[in-house]
Amino acid sequence: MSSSNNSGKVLKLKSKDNQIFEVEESVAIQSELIKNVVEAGCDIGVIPLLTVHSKTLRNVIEWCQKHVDYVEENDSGSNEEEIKNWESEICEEGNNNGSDDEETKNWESEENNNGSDEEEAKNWESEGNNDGSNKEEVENWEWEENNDGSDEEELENWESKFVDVDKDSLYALLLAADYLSIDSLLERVIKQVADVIKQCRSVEEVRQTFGIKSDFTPEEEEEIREEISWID
Amino acid sequence: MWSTLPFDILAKVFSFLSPDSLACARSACRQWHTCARTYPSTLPQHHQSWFLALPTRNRGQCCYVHNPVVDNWHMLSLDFLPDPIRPVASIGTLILVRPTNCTILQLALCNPFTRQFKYLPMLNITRTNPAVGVVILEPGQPGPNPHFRVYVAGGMSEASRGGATYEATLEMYDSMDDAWHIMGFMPVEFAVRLTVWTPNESVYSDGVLYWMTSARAYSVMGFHLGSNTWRELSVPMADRLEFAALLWRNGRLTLVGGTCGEDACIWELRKGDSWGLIEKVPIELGIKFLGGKRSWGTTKCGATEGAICLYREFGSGMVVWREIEEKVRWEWFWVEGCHFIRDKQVQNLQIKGVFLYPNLAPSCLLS
Repeated sequence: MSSSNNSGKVLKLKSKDNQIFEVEESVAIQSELIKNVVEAGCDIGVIPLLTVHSKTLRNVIEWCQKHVDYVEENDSGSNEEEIKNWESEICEEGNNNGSDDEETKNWESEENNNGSDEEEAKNWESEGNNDGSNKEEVENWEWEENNDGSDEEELENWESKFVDVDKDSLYALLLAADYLSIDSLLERVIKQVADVIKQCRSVEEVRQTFGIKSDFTPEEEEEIREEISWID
Repeated sequence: MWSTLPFDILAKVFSFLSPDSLACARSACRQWHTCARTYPSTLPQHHQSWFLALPTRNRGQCCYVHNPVVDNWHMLSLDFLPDPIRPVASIGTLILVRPTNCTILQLALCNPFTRQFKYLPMLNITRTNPAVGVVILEPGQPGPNPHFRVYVAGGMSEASRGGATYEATLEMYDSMDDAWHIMGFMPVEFAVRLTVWTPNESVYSDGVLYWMTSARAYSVMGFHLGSNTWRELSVPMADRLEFAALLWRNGRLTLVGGTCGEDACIWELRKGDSWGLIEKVPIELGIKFLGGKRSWGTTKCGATEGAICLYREFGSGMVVWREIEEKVRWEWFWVEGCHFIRDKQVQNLQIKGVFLYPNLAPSCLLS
């Protein structure tokens, strides 16, 4: 039985067209399907993914890798480290002024790295520490704290580029995400399909875009036209 | 390929579509049509409600809706209606309406998108011109079958000795049992005021149904449902306002009103029944809206979750105050009026409107 902490373990995934992909377990278990296989202890040898073509599987693995990387880069551990570095830098800058030491002590006693720290830093800054380099330190620290916002944006942009593909690839991604049960991918592709539909201004355009043939009888077609005649 | 997508995935895709996109998508093929019919989306919160307007003097059988997604107007035929109607209140995805060719109050439910219409049963005591109030019992995601109650107070009914009398009973309709119940009596002077000086709409806030009454001076009447008690509230600049409308905004009773030649203002009811001024309609929008006139005269207001609007006629355009950041920021927008639909000119008639969440799925309340 494999333990859940085994981040070094590598799994072998086999695509529909018999290509083998070696993937780290932490990446592969983004798929609930694969996670269940691993937890049931059936991950010996190769895991066959009967409905996923290698071209699609490659992309899916890229998605999972990106999301594992994103989580690692943004967990709280790295922020704590940043704060400790900042703290020691400040102490080193030789602020012998008694009130500065006091302020630093007050700030040190706060354990968490949420907004209140930012407030503390701001208060400290405004309390008359006019030494240019200290102000810079605070600004750098604030910038690092606020980096979370742009990381999220960066991921969103990456995701948008990822799903910006031709219809056939999108379809393959959709089915793969569903089969493999990768919630993040499924949701993003679903939104993309919805966005593509929103670009269509008429039923004809929807049919053309998705290669759909109308299978209504002429009478039904007429009825449906009536139903939506309010759309110009 | 695409036409054979599994229904659960397709239904999720459809849940992200605005009503006009959904209408196109579900018409593409049988599978998609069946999916949309079988799994009507429960209208996720990020969908906006649409403003639906009818001419106050009802000529012709159609209404006009404003699509906020693409900022244009659509015309919806109302030829499925047995009688011409006037909107009374919005009930999420449905509208409560009353036929205009009838002096006795009768109410009905309507969904112009699914072309469904159904009369509510007649009241226990028939009356003309009462005040009507609506309470939606499951606020939140508006669905095709809301649970709601309608309150009718006052009006004039036939007196036992002939002629008419002010009706001091209050009746309530519950959509769960599709029946009217007599709830009790109200002070006769309130019955009179509600009959003579009140339009049909009300605002429900925090257990109280409020109506604006417009005698020589505006004032507000409130009916506390829990204790069956009535009270009166004063209105700022009550005798100077040219128009005054009650709305619900951010959990508070809100008042919009304007005086001749001045800005229109928005007040909020605070603790202790006092009104606090929270906003004024920007001058340039006010001028555009009134078309250079100084009088607010026929201005009316509508509101929905996250938006308040001022409107007058089809062509006058609308001034909209919309929530941009949840509970934080509201901004003013201009919405161009409805002048042409499919190259046919729209008569610049006075309108009465409500907001509703377009729903393309038939409601069993209306079957």
